[in-house]
Amino acid sequence: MDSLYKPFIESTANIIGQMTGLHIDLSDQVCEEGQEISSLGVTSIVTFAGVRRGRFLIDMVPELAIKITNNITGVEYKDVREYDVLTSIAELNNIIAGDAITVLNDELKLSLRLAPPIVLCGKEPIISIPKLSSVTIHGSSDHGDLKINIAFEKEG
Amino acid sequence: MDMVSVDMKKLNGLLNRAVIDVITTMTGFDVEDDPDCSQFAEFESVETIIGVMAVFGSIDAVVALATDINSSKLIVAYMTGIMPTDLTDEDVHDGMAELVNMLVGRVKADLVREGLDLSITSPFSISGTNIEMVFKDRENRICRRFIAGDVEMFLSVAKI
Amino acid sequence: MKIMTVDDSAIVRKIIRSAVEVLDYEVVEAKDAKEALDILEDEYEDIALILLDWNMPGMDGFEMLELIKKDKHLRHIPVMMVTSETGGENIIKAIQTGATHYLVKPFTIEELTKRILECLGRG
Repeated sequence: MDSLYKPFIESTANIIGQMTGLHIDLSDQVCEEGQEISSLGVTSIVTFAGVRRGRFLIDMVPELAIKITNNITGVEYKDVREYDVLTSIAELNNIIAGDAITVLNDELKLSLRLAPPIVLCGKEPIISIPKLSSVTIHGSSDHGDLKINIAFEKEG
Repeated sequence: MDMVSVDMKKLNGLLNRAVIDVITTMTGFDVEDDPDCSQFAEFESVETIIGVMAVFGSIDAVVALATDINSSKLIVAYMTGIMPTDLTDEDVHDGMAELVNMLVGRVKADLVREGLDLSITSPFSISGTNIEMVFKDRENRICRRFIAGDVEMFLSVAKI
Repeated sequence: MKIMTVDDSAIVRKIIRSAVEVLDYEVVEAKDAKEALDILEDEYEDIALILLDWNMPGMDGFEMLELIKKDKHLRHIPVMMVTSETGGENIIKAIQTGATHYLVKPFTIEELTKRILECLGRG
């Protein structure tokens, strides 16, 4: 597996497990993705720049976003559009990406810096990222599906 | 050397000018801004498309330009000289991402000339209905509405 | 004859295509420097002008300009940098390295057409 993707995959399962107690099964298959990514409902995107530019996206069904938030905060949220739910997913993404980038910076000296995460939800959102080819890793949990998507610009 | 800084007001001012310059140049539209509007993209039940890009360094911010899907087709059609009906979804997404790229690129160049340290990320776009985009800091967000005939656009600059 | 556009943005390539086709030139598109250099290897005799983006992943436009101007088969082809790099230093650097013209994004189609014609000696 590409050494650039591995830290993101490992951090996703580990950090969700540590922060929420939920078990996430991530597929061993790394799928090449086209430019457009259909969201499962809630998406958080974090972009980064340094020696190379790229992006990490975590996407999940609303039920899972609510369950993750409830487990993190100890509060029972019902609506995915609540501010706390969306910001919890953004924060989770920030922590996962931060962890993965620390590994990449240590091992590959990429000097990556994270931009602030954004989070969005809506009816059938499509996220389109021109110029960057990416890979998707699908995952599942007892509370619904999720996927992560990782993109890096080509090396100079 | 002292670190040069930029505040949200200045960044927003530069971006507002860039929106008018870039869209006017690329489409020939006569773009005006509406300084009284502070709400972002109220396109309820209408398919919306948002071009997004992040800036970080001397200031960390997310810049988003939103419009409804029909307006975005019109904008990209005027940019490319391709009829709106002949544009693919990918063209429209690329066009909105490229517009944001151009306007943030222009502002970055201005600020770097002033001695700021700024990086920009790759642009991307989001489309869908009833899209809600949330940033960590609800207070530090400036929104502006732009109009060009029937085309309505919203610029949001959120500091995080 | 053909005009080559090298830009990682598909939409910018389409904008350039619109302008170039009106001038009755065939357009050759490349999304990065590597693809462009591969095409040039076979088609350099047919290329009348290269429109070259500065910021591209992989080899950037300036590095590609340097390669073109060092290559005995390619150095005669005029190159116009089409870029959002507005710094005066970059413009000087590109012109000193052999670029014929420099166009800053955003640009109008009229401006682009005028510059293309100037590069082709038809201005």
